[in-house]
Amino acid sequence: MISKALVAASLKPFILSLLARGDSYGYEIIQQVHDLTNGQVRWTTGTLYPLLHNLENKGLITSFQREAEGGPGPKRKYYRLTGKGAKALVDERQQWLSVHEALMKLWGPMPGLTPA
Amino acid sequence: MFDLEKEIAAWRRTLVYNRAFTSEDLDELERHVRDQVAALEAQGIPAKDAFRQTLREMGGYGAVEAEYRKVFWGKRRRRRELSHELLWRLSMLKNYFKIAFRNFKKQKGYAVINIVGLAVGLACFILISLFVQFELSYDTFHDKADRIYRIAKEDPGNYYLGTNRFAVTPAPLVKALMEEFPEVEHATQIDQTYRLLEYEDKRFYEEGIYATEHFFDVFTFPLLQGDPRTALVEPNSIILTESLARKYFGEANPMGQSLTTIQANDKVEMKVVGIAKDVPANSHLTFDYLISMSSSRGYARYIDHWDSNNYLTYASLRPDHSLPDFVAKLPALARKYLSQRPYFQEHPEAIYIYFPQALTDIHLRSHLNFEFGVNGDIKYVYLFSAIGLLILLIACINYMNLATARSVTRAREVGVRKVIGAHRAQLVRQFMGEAIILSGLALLVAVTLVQLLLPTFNTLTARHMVLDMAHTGGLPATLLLLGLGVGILAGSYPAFMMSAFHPVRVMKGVLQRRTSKTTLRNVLVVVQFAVTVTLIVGTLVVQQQLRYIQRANTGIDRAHVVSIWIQDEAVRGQYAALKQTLQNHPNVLGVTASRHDPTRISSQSGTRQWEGAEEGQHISVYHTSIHHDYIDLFDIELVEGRDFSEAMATDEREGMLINETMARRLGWDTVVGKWLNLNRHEARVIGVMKDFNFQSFHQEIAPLALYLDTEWFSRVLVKVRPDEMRETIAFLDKTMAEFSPAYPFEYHFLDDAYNRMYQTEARLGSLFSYFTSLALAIACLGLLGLATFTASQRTKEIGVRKVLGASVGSIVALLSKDFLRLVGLAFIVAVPPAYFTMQHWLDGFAYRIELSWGIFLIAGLTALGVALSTVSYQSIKAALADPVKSLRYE
Repeated sequence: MISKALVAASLKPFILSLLARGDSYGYEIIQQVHDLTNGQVRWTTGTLYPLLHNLENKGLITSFQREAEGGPGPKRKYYRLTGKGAKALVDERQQWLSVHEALMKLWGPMPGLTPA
Repeated sequence: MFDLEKEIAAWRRTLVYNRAFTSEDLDELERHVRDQVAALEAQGIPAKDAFRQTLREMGGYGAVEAEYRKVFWGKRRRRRELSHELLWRLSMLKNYFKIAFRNFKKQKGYAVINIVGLAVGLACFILISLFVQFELSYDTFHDKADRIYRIAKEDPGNYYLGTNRFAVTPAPLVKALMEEFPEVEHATQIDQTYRLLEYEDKRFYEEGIYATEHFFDVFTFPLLQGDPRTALVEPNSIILTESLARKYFGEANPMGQSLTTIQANDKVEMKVVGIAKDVPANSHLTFDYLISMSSSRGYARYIDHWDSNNYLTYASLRPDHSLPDFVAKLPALARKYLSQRPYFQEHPEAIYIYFPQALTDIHLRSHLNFEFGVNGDIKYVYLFSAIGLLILLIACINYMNLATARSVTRAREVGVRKVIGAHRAQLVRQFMGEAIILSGLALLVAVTLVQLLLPTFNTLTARHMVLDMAHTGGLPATLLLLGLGVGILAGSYPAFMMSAFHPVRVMKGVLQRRTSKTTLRNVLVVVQFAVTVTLIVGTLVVQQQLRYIQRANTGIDRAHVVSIWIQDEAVRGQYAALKQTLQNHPNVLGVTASRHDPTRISSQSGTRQWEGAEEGQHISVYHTSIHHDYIDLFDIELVEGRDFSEAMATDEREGMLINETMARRLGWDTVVGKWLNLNRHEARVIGVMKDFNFQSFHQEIAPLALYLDTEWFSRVLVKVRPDEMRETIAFLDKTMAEFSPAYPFEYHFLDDAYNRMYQTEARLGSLFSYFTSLALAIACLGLLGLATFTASQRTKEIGVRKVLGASVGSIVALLSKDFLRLVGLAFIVAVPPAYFTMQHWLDGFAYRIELSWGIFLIAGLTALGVALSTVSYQSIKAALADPVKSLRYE
């Protein structure tokens, strides 16, 4: 399992990246992340939805309603990336990559550190 | 059977009232739940388990709420969701009301005690506020109220009825003020009069004033008809008030009609030149008619006399006046006009000093000689304000005590609310709200009470106050504020105390009685009873002093004496025949005549000439003229010499009776036969009277001289039998109608006149006793509630004690002991302030009772007795209760 702190840090880039590939809604986002990470990352609803609302407040994403297919219940709330959100994603990506690159350099072939 | 729709609806309901979620959020969450449940079901998991798992994965309730809350408070969102917020608040409010009314219903007794206590307290407070406001409003209705002054005079050395300050001033003062003082805008003088008015067959004595022409330039008494600038110029002009005009002329227009005024056989035709609105009740000047001063022959005669002090002088100063400058300039005026007089040349220090009094101060702060009427007193305004506040305080304390005592029963509610997520501020608001609702209800009752009691209160205070909600600007708002204030004052302490309960502890049922709480409650009870005891002492002292005045041997027998006012010159010539006729009636015991009532001899003169007087010696002597039989009729004791005798012709005008005080002041060793010159008339002392009170008890007995003058009198004094009073009065009326057909029969009983001198005190006494009873009642109401509560708290303890063999008596003692100790403590606290206040009040009397321990003892015992009977009712009830019942549920 991935640690809580890392999950929290990856929330925003995950959401922005997923929405960059197409509109989506809360439950689907959770499922996609779950599948992408092979169940390594599990978000709870309590964390995801407030964050979605937060990003919406900041104008990085917008929301709209669409009739849910099949079954009773309220409409489904979809989220879509805005222009501002796309810029933010570029920025996020930049940050992740630089952290990633740095770590990769450190984790290059080096005696004692490579897994046996 | 598991029903997903029902479960979802139930789950959603738990979140609806949470402010952190908007309905949109809930839609989204619900959609999520449904999606996930559907997905899980697709994997073959039963709906029930799928739903449970979904909720579990959503995270704890608190965590979700906290996360949502963070976002929720974002500004944009908040604006969007104001209606939701409002809905939430309203539903909370609804719940508070519901709980409050359930509590009232469940414990009707407490609710009634609270409401009645607060209502009575509020009613007292409102009544007293009305009184205070009325007292303070005197003479403020004049447009120039803030710059009208009455010019009075100080007469150094001339002490009369206890002061050397006089309201009356000489006639030329008006002219001098207008001409010599640039800051004086207008000045006017008035003189009181009480005379017969006659129009066709209507003839009554009426009270009015003479006024100089600028009267309406100074004062604001609106005229409905007539021209205020000219109305008071012409002689023999009269202005009637609306009511008086209606009394004499009915619906006819009196303008231009003539009325006859009759005074001492002097008939004058007066022309009605104006109709004035009735004088407001809060005016120190009161009149039913105004006569132009130019009609007064006396005024014309005195117009240049600086030493005739007969008139009240009022001046309006210019808006930019400087009062200190005006005050500083006034003494020079008296010096300018009076210093030429031989007496003042010898005694320049005795020259009068004129000084201004603000018009609005006259009613409450002026106690000069020859005031226009009986003034109020600022001391009583303070006193009653204090009483009003104290009673309100007692009522608030009641609420606090009952609320905190009963808090035990509300503790679980507080616990549950807190566990569900109530914040402390919300609880404070809830309990405060309850107090405000109660005080609002109490306010409604109080206002009704005030409306009911106001007529009686007006009679008691001899004022005319109204509580006019519709026409007094701001009154409803003020009352609402009062209710709110009382609610907050009474509710704040219990609210903060109760909201501080620790949920876990109270839910476990551990509510340790911390001593600090009971201590505060005890302090409050002590305060209540200390106030009550103080008020009881006040009541007792005032009443005892009044009884002392009424019963005191004043040295003369004034019982059953009718004093008839004589105005008709003709009667004076027929005195012998009148006396004979009266004496022939079997119910008449004696007849005499005098210039004054013997209970109020007010003429005073000074003299320096008497046998053996030394240079520079001076004595002021009160004096009056009497007829034969005076000394006998009033049973005045002679310590030396003899009474006037009809056999001694020289007694008339040349003989004199003096009192012991005068004999002592003159320094004579033998008194009878010595001469004295009084009022430019030399007389010899023929007898010495034992001192008697010929004025009110506020004054010490002063030197008094009586002389015989059978030609002049203004009062016929008739001693009658106490029984068959009605017949006797009818006989007097008939006889006077024969001797003085032109004048109505005007009489009073000396006893009544005597008592009227203490009217202010009598009013104070009755008000004091009413408010004290109310204060005591409110305090006891609180005590009753507290006792009931304590008894109910200790039901089980009492049961166990009884089972173990405790007697009813010992249980009553156990329950009552604590309260009685508090009342005892209150007594000790109350004694010093009560003692000093009442000592101060009594100092206003020259003849007074002494404050005895008895009074305090009675006050203490009364409070104790009432408290005991209140508490013991509950204690006995609790002690008699069947222990089987109280212990059954253990």
